[in-house]
Amino acid sequence: MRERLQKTKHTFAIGSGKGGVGKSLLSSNFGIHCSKKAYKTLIIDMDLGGANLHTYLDFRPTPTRIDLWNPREPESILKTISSTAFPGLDIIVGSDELLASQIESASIELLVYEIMKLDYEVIIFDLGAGVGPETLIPFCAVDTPVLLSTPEDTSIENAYFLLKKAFHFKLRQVSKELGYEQGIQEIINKPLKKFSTPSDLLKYIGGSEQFPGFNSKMKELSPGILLNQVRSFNEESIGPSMAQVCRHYFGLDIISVGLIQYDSSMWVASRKNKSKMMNYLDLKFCGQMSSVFQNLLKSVTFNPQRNKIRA
Amino acid sequence: MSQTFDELDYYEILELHPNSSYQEVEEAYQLAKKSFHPQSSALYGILAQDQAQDFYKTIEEAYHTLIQPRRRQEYDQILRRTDANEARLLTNQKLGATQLKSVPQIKNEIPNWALEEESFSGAFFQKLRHHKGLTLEDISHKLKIKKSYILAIESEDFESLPSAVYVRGYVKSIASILGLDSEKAANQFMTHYK
Repeated sequence: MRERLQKTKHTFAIGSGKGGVGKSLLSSNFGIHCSKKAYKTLIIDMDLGGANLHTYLDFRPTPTRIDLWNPREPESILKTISSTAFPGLDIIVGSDELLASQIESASIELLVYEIMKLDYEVIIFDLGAGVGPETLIPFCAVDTPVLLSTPEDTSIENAYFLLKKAFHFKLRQVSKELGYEQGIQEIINKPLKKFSTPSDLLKYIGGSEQFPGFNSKMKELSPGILLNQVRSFNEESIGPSMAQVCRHYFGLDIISVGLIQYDSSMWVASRKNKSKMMNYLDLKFCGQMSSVFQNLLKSVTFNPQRNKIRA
Repeated sequence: MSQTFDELDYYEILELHPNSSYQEVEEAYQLAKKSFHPQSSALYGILAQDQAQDFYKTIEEAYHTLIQPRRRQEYDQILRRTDANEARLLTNQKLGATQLKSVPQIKNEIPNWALEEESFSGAFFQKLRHHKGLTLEDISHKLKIKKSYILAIESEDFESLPSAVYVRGYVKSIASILGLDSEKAANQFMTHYK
């Protein structure tokens, strides 16, 4: 993003590349968790075309939606915010009319930037499926991107696809920001040097001494991998394994932030009564979810003044 | 050596610090083996099968070099003055290629009957060890734990064991080598320990 955001806030983006793996369920509960911890929290539905995060929060759709934002009046972002039933948790409801393909990348970048400037301590982007700019821009801009997958091959494949796209997006972004566009392009196109992995490429760039600061900027993209719907002991190691494979393949500091077991009764409950989800954190099942959230918040360094105020 | 990661030294391959203990080498090996096993779900859509197979062989090589004190010492010395690829070649030239079959290969899978285990008793560890075709000597050799202690853990003969803090460490290592969740297994086992 164009200027360094003040570190009294922490931004997250939850993405998966694939639909139906539990992004909105996770994001909404993470939002509730943060607000219960007394963090002033904003959650944004970035699904521009099939938004339903508000439903997970038992929040009736209102005319106050992300559509009200006008790129020509950046401060119009304030009009898109609604409060939820949870004290300290606000939401920007997504759109079911806007089509991502109709919005220019530059406008999405501006939108994300305006949101990240807002006065909240925790900001969570719930990303839609796919790998369009409305997904890649927030995924690469936030402090902690979270890559959500389930143990199924198709879900893992789509999660990696999102990560590959994000890597290339970030590569272009950093090259441009540091003025290395031409130099980096020349390396990628070297006819005699073939890079078999992104990690090989970063190692080569890091060793060339022509691009100071490039790799440390690239490493700002270091997602946490979260595995949802784990059904057996054997599947428990998939998240840490994915993180290890990604560290070797991308050369980024990717870690596993935990797992959440499949609990069929919970999902049935959530379908019957959406508001049940508000009590998630009281249920035993939520122990895992809660420990994942605590893991995510561990990386957060808030303004030290804040703790004094709370104490 | 795998062409995909051919510039990594053995420590980087297993994600270890050069001062790592043998126990840490063992644990890192267990994770890397799971991650890069050619059948691992975590490779789906990211590494081609031949790349994965090559890298899997490299992991075995890294482990067998770093777990053997003499070999590791030799490798460390060479690595200080050259790059990863050459260090591997020179170590092999000096001490011969790693004897991958000299240490028993442990079956990766956990049988169905073991998946439901909650109590992690001594008898359970013994049953799983037999299932994996491992002798007391194998485990003792790999983990550098006395055979009599392993036997005492399996028969829950607590009087023959040292203090709880040591036993917990042993159980964690044994559980880890058997492919179990070592933290959970040790916690449960220690509830029997009196």
